[in-house]
Amino acid sequence: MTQAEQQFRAELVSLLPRLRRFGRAITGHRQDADDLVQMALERALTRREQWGAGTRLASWLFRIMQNLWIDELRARSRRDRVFAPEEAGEHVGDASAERQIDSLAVRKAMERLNDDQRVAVGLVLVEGLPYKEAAAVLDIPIGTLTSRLARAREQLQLLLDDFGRAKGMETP
Amino acid sequence: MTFTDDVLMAYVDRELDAQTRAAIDAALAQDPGLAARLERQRKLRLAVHAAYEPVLAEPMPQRLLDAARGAAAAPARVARRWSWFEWSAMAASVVVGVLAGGVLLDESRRVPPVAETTADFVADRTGMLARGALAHALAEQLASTQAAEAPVRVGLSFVSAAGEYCRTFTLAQDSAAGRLGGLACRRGEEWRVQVVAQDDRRGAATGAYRMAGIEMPSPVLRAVEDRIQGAALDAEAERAAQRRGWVR
Repeated sequence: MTQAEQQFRAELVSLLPRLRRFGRAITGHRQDADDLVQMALERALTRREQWGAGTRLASWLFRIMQNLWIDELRARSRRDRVFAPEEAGEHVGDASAERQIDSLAVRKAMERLNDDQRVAVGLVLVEGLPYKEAAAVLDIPIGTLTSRLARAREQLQLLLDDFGRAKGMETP
Repeated sequence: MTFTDDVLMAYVDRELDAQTRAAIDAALAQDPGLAARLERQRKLRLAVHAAYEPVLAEPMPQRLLDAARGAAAAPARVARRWSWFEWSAMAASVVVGVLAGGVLLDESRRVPPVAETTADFVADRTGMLARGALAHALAEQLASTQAAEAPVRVGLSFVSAAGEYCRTFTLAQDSAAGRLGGLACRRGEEWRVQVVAQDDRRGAATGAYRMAGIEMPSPVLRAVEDRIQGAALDAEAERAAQRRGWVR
């Protein structure tokens, strides 16, 4: 193995936690996310020469994941609902119960977005990509990206407000 | 000066040019409404980010480390994942051939009693029927109480559009053909096997889709999707159906 190859693989390893997080944001499922990451890694390794100079490796991987996920969704457009739902409170870490509930609400709300919106939120809000980079990942104009982001946020805010009201009624 | 939500989003995303940013900063002091709107945007951004932050701290599955290091099986094999056989009378000989010792083809078309065979499937003119340990597990085993090392594990149970109880299953045996998963539906006294799918990555314990904690090949999931009416049974409904002998 050349030194460049070794370096490339080491960088992939260091990106793993973020790839999993992005996968979780766009798929909403742990197994789907990890399968997606695994397939993206394999593709990245076999098509390394397609990684363009000037693109961050993370962005390139996000792009691969996003494309693979679209393919997967087409293959099984209605399959998600037969999966066992992610359980609440499965996080590692010591977040308070309140915060776990909020996080669960956010993830549930994310699942209600359309695929384009969810990916935009995953890239910008979850992964913190600048607009320009996120638009490049998706191969869309910045204006399209920001309008997806805006619609997604309105939708999320509405869903979370509803959730907050429901929670408020349970605990007067 | 009024600022649109889009501008406020760009503000919290740190995408605004310095001039607009300064204008907002200046307006904030005199405009409590603007401050509240901005705070809402900021909170949403933080909440979304925080919702996925714990993923970073989760233990890393070995298979992903292997994949990143190029140590996994050949990519094409993983991409192909599950090969499968949708059951039909025509495909009977193919499936029987592939499943080798796992299947007993009943030439006489008479179905042998459970005690006479250890095979999990028998074929008759109309398709494939569950037998032996498989039939027993489908009738008796509950997903909520079954042993992790059970030779057959049941997954989802649900009512099909045809009004039958259907259950997914996986066979623990690691035969030459690889691990098997499938879907069977109760018709009359029989569990009719609708789909059998085979994990062609022999010995690979990871990578397959999971359903209710049980690995389930995607052809089986699609078969479930094609048939399911409403939601899958919960533990209580599963128990009740089992008590009634899977008769509705």
